[in-house]
Amino acid sequence: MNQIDSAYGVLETDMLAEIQRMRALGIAEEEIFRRLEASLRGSLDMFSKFKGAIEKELDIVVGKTAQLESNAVMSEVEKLKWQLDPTVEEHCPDCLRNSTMTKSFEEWANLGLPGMGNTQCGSYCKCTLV
Amino acid sequence: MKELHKEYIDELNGLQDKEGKDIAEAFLSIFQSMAKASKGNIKKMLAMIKLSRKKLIRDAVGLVKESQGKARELGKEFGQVKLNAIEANASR
Repeated sequence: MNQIDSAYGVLETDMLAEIQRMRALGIAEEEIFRRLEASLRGSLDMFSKFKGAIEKELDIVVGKTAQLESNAVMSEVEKLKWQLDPTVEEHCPDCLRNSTMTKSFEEWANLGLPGMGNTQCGSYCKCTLV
Repeated sequence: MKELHKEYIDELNGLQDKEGKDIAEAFLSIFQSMAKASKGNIKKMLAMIKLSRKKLIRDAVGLVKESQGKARELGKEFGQVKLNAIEANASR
């Protein structure tokens, strides 16, 4: 959540800087306002950067939550294999290495469950334990 | 199992995209309303954005929690599907 708060702070700073830049160029206040409104509709970089930061944060939060939940359910299974993400052709070296091993849930938890950020693909990892 | 894994990933990707987009657009929509309310006064618009920060972030926390709830549900469902597949294999 701190990420969204800091993105908000960056947006405020960027807006001020952009307004000052336009004023320094002698652009009229009405035109500056018109451009700000246009940027809110996604046509300028300032707000799209903010939008991107929120989307990235949600990507991580939603991904990690679902991944954790889908693997935590498997905690009672004696031995678990690391199944690679079947939707991608290339995998990071950590996931490739993990896919050759069979471990208990506890051992995987110590090594790092899929999507928890312990592999090179980080929180984007969509591998799973089966 | 790989097919079920793929279905889960497709759903998860969709959820990630949708939730991020929805929350970002909610913010932008509020900023657009502020721009409209400030009637061309830049100083007023900036002040509105600044003063609303705490409330908007608080609201965003609520929305993110809702998104997490949906993610938890999706993860649990897939976890159960995996468990069922393991049990089915074991009983063969």
